[in-house]
Amino acid sequence: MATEKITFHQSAYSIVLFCFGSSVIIGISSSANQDGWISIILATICIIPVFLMHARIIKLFPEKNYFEIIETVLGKKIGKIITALMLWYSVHLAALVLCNFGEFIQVFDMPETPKLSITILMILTTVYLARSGMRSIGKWSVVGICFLLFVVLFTFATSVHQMHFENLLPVMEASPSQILKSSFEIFTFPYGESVIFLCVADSFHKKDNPYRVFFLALAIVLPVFLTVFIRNLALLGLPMINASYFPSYIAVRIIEIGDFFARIESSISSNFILAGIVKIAICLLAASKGIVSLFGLQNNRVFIMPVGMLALALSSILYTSTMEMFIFLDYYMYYALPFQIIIPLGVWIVAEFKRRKKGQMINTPEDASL
Amino acid sequence: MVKRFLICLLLVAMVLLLGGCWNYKGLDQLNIVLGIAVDFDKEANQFNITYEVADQASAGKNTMIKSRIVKSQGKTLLDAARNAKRKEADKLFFGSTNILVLSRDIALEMGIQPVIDWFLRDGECRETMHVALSQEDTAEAILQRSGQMSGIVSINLHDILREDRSIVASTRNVKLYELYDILELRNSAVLPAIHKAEENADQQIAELNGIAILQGDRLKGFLTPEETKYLLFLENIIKSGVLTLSAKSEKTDDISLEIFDNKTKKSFAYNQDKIVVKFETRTHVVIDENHSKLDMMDPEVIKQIEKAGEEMLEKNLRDLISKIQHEFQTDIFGFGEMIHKKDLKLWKQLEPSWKEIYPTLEVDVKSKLIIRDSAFIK
Repeated sequence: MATEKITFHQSAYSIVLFCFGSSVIIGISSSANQDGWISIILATICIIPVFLMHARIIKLFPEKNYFEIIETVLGKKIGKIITALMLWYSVHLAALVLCNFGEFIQVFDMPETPKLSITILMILTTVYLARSGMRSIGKWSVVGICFLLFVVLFTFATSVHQMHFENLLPVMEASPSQILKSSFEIFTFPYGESVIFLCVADSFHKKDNPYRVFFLALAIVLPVFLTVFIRNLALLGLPMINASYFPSYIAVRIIEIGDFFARIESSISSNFILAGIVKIAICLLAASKGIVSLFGLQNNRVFIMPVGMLALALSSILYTSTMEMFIFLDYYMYYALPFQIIIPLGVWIVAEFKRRKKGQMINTPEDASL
Repeated sequence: MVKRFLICLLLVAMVLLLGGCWNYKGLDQLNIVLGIAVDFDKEANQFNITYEVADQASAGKNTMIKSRIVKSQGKTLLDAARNAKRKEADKLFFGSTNILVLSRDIALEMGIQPVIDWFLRDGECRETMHVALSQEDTAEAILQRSGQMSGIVSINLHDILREDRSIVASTRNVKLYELYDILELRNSAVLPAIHKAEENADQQIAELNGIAILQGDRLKGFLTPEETKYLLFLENIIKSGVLTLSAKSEKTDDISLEIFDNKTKKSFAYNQDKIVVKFETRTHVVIDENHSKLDMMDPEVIKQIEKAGEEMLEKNLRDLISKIQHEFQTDIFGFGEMIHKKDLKLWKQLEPSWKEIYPTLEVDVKSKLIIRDSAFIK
């Protein structure tokens, strides 16, 4: 089945937006207090091998998606089980992001508007985007990233005069175990979630080096995360950060230049919408491809709408309150680990093993398709 | 073709529906609150809250916007805010609140933490509103206008508070989120104090009167505007202000120095179980008043003035620190926080007994005054 291909930059930027998805607004959570920046750097270092693994899988099976790879590597029976698991994860992730979005709007912008009416609008938009295909998502990412980087830089630049950089001190107050735990959180959310990209890997061009795609993405994500973290901490101070659900939003709320320039927090909301839409759309696309491959069907586009509705229904029963959403974040890392690390690791090891064993059998069809 | 037409029609209809917000409210349906004064009535066990709201009925093309006072009572702050709707046609809107005045009794007996919680928690209130403490019997008195005074009290006070640091240096303004941070970090805070000053026989006007010092979230005492100026020096946030002194150490001051720039460095040294906190100030000033006709072209005279100024500054700074250290025993300068940030190991040793150590800290103050010029004339 021919799939739309996206360019090198588009694929990297869509990974970037995917990582920003909900984390830019939830604030890169940190139980390590002012040492959070260490955790961010640590998590970034730890994710490099995982990204290398993803890139390697893509390299081994160019222009194939994760579900097809799973079936080729693990065989029909186990393959179907793993496919079902990944399918669940992508639907769940879409629902989680949708739910974050709904909670955020409800808490901050429109407390009297029912959450469902907001999430319905959001899901319809993302279904439309996902149905338009990976190319549209790629183009959207290029637009989105320009705006997003602009907002991050702009809010940083306009608030420098209000910042207290001594808030970053003392360094290494948190115990190493706290820092590790916090970096593990960042490792699974948002970095690890990019495993979903394997599911839409058939959209990556064969000639684009997947290693470089992932590294370009990481090279953009890390500085932005650090900037956001430092901006929030230097503006708000630690007690306020720890007290607030969405530190980025509160931080931007207090930016004031003179008498006239203030209240630019809606830029943060739009950031979230831009990146959140990409994240949900990719999850939906991945899920629809999962269904196609699970039931041996042909056209994945027709399943995007049902999958979207499924995510919508799921998102409305996930949590009963905002508090629950944040409590779940503490457990999310353990829940996500099998999907993010264990399954890809298994797939990769078996794939490498099989390739060594009968390298020619795998290589032949590849060459034929050229 | 028909299908296309229908789709277009549907889209246009959707535009009409989607254009508005779910709970749209026009400006005329809002009671815009500009300032809030919070009192607690112990007998009735309820909050008495006074809101100054913009009176939009009076607003016209050429007239200044006026304000009026709305009062309400409730068991909690939100309860009181909602109770106001029982007599007001429009709901109170807190998005433009400039200033929050707390009564002295709340700061003395209840603590300010319960009050600021709501203002931080509620979505409408801004974290950037200024917080102040009333020195009158009630907080309400500050917002009440008397006599012929015109203008909106809350907006006036907000502007006075905001610009004070760069003109008079008589108080330290505090925003809501800063207050929360400082209370958590230093377990103490300062709030600008406001009292009512006699203007004419029947006219009283709200005036800044130094700062209130809080230990935890309870009121501990007040500093005069003069003392507050030196506090701003120590916190390294003074922008302007006036230093008066006598060059020949006589009783009446004959020189005014206007502060143009100041840098204060705060550091500490630790040796042999003794902690010395050091302050170094470096101030650029301009001679703006010269009563006794001192010769400004004489370098000796300038040196003399500089020296007298430095001595005066050092003495006042030292007095203030010792007053805070011994009389109030509150760490409002954040000595503990400084040690915590710069020397984590030392802080871990000191932290358990910090309360006892704090009053015994030695403080060393050094001031440097640089006279930039003598304004327009020699």
